[in-house]
Amino acid sequence: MWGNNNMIRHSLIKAIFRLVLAVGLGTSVSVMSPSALAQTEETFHKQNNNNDQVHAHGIVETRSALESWAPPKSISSYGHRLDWLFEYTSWVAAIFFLIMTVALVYFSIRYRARPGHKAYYTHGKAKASEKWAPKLLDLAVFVSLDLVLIGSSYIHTRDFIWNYPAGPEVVRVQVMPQQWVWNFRYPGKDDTFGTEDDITTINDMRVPKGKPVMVQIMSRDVIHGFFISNVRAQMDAIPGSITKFWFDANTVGDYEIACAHLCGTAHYKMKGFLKVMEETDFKRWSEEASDWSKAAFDPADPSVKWGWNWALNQK
Amino acid sequence: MGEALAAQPNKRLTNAELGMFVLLASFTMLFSTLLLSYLLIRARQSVWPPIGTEPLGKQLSTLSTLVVVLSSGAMHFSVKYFGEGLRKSARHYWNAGLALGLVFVGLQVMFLRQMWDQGLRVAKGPFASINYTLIIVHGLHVIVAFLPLLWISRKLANPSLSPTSESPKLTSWFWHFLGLVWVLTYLLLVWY
Amino acid sequence: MSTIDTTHNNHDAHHGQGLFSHHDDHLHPEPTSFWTKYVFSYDHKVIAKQFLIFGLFWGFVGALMSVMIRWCLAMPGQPFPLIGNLLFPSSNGVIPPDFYNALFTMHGTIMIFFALTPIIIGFLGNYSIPLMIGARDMLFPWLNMASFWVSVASGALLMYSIFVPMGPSAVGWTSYPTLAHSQWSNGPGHSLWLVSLFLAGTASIMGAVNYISTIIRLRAPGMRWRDLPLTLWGLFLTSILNALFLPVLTAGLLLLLIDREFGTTFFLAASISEAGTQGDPILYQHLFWIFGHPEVYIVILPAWGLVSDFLSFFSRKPAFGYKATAISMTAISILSAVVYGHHMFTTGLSPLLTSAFTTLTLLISIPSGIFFLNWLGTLWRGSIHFTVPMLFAMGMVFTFGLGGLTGLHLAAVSTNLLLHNTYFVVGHFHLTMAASSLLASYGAIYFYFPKMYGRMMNTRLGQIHFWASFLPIVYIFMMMMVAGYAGMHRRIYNPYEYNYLQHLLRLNQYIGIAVAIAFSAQLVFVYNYFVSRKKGSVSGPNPWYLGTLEWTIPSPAPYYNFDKIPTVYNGPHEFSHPKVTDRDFIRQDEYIEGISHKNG
Repeated sequence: MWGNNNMIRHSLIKAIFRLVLAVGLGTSVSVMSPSALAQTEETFHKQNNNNDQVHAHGIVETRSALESWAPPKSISSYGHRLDWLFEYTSWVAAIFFLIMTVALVYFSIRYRARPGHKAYYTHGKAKASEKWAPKLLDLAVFVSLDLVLIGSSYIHTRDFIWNYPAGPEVVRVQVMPQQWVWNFRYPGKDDTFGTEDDITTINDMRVPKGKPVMVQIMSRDVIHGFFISNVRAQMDAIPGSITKFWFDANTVGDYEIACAHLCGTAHYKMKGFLKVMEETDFKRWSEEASDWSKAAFDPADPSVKWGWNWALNQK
Repeated sequence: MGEALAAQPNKRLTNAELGMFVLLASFTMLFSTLLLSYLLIRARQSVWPPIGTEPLGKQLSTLSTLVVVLSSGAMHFSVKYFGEGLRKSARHYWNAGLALGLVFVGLQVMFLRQMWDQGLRVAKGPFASINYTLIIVHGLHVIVAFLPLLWISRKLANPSLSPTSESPKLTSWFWHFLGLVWVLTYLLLVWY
Repeated sequence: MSTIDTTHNNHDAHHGQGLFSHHDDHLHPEPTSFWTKYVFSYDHKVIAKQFLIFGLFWGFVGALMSVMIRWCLAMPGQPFPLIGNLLFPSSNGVIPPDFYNALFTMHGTIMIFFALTPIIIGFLGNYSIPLMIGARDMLFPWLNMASFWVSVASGALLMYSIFVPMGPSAVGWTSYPTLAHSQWSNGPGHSLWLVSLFLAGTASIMGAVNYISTIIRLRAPGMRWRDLPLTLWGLFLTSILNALFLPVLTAGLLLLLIDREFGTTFFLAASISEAGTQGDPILYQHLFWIFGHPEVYIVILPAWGLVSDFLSFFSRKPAFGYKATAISMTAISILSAVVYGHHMFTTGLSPLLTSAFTTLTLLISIPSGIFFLNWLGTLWRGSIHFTVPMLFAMGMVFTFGLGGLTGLHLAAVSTNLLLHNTYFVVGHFHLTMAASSLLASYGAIYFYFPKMYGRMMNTRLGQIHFWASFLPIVYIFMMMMVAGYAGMHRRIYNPYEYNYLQHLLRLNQYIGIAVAIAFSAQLVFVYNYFVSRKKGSVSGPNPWYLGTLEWTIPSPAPYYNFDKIPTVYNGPHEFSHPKVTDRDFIRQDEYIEGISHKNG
């Protein structure tokens, strides 16, 4: 490779280096060999399946290989619209990506340097038609992707993202995350926040099926990210200001709430549970819980005094 | 800053002036961001100064503003005389500017002291935060600027300094810039 | 050929021909001692090498951290191999969650500010700018040297911060308050981080002053703006963005530091500050991202320019649409200032703002598409030589095309709400920023190696390095996007706490294997680099057969660069001109009647 001096020393250095490389690769592969992986997976499933909360909430989600590529089941009324936009964008982008890849490979083969083959000098000579091809393609990308995204964003914002529900049917919830749990507050039977019958829960959000849920969020300490993947909704929780969003869930079941914004040591396990219940069940629960809260209310306990006046500036 | 490599082309700005211009653009962004942050923070408060806080005193700050403007003026004349070859006058005006700069810093310290004596503590909310920060950050830049100012002062006393040296002019640019930043800060903090 | 030479550089017109030595009155004298030659050197070429070694060292540190991160995700609860027990004795070699947070924080910080920036701007800019424009050095050599040493100080502080009590910064490279405030991140780690970044920004600004001034003022006679290689357009625009937007970061970090150390409440909100009046954590995000978004363009612009040049160089064909590419890069630089809000879609911005930022962000795809398609246009009907730099350039085209398209999903507020803070974002920015800049950086190193050392790096090893890096890299970050769409959010030590993410273990393990392969492949590069310096085949002055000015001087480049400052008559991409039959390139300083332009 490098010339003929010191062949022996070279071969030695090369051999040592290859050995190091092999050991490195070998170590990596062996610690992640199928058996090691399987063993890890087994141990890990054991650890996690012993998770009482998971069992208690009955969350079970088996997924096929193809499903692995998709987000978890969509349960909100607008989730499928966002999913559609994502998939449309992905497919159309994939087409352009394919065009690009084919061009790269084709050009590499067709225009590779070889005897007798000269490159095409374009300065000043490029025909107008040649200059149009990239511009047309760029326009095609813009029209088929960018404009659709701009338009869809506008429509989605108008239709549901910023279109908050109002009226007596709306279930209102205040969410106050803190390191590292989710606090929820319901207004209770008197439908007013800040009274004795407010229902407060930790990591337990319950909503009725099919009814709009209006959520206001403020953090107690650092920024957290309220993220319910099944609902396709995400909103940051900021200390000192109230953020809001709404959703409705159309499938009964138990789902997980994640904290999507780095919030410290236990950010990775700041898990809450969303329980979507039949309307009658929800009503029953909220009345019982409200009564219980009122009975158990202790004015000296500061931990239940969080919350804020429901912020009315919806739009 | 060493001498630039090429001789000066026939352009409006010399090479070193161009470099200083870019540097000043950077510093402009720095102070703009700080002043903009002040305005944004203030926009969130319904009352400014907040209840129970006294507004910043006008006398000391106006005086220090006048002093810094005079200081810039002195520097300006110094550079002018230097360009005309009047080395001695240049030196006197430069030192006057430098002295006025020191007076400015002294007045700023008194101003901060006044804030402290009025009970305003750094950790006492946005009003304290922004006022202490803007005044002190600007002041620190002024103090660091004294180093080149002193260096130029010494060089002006040295007869071997080339009459075409751009160092006095460029240093004065930076000084004028800091003065301008103070005038703006003063207007926004004290009068707005 | 007569021109009005308004620089003094062409002294031999007055003093006669011959070596420059008697008219180097403006050049620093030749260094003689070890210290002035290799350590405190004014020579831009030495400073470039210093930045390169600095960047490669930190790149290695950052890459090692990424291996540790992926280990946690692939083998949760398992002790880290080889050095685990040494580093984490109290947890039996398992990486603890606190340290994991520090890992991704430092990984991001190091890769952006201490690896990519020093290499793609510090090394590439310093090395190529004076050579490509036909100058002897930068306009401000002392400032240049100072900028390196300020970087070193910055790096030293960051390194020191790793070992302080309570550990290094662990709040994410974005350093958002209020997590970054002392109450939730106590200890000196993050404050040291802030000061370190302050210094790093200062060093970059010093460099930017130099690059901008040098490109404007020290171009050889005859070198018009349109004769600049596109690499220089990239470096020029990057420097403008650096000069204008780093101070915004500095201001934001300064205010955060003051919040931490002096109890001010710039970013501390009413509910938690004692004062009872409002600071705003979101203000920080605005300040950070006003810098942060231009920053990603800062890191990629030199790479765009470089790739535009390489594709032309190694297709033996003029760069397709040079003017359009330069204008597009400029347009993107300007637009980069007004799109930053797409990082903040989940903070409750109003619909007006979200629509505005969505639209503006998507508009950037127009100029991006233009120069990207110009890349393909350059390859089209070329005569393509697959040198190692060309491989890296084409790899960059691929990764940037892929990464750029996924930016569309993130630009629109609707889909952004699904994907924000998930691995989709991580995959996207690694493809566009890390993979693309990294591949371009490697291309630049292989490309300039002969000019630096007079020898070629080994081609076979270069090819192995390329494929063993490129293929895993594409796999890793594509799969990350899959994981993100599946719901896996980022910066989590153990995603399998969540039931709906448990099925991603396999995927994360495969990604981990690819990471191990890619990491090992870099060892091939390191070996190639250090051994080829002495044992590579001798390159000669112009091993790539190019016309740009750095290839008209000997290899390795002499400290004074040019014997005589050249006069430029041609553009940088004059390949395969039909009238020139003995070779397929024209030197920029070569006057050919009927082809070259006449002004000086």
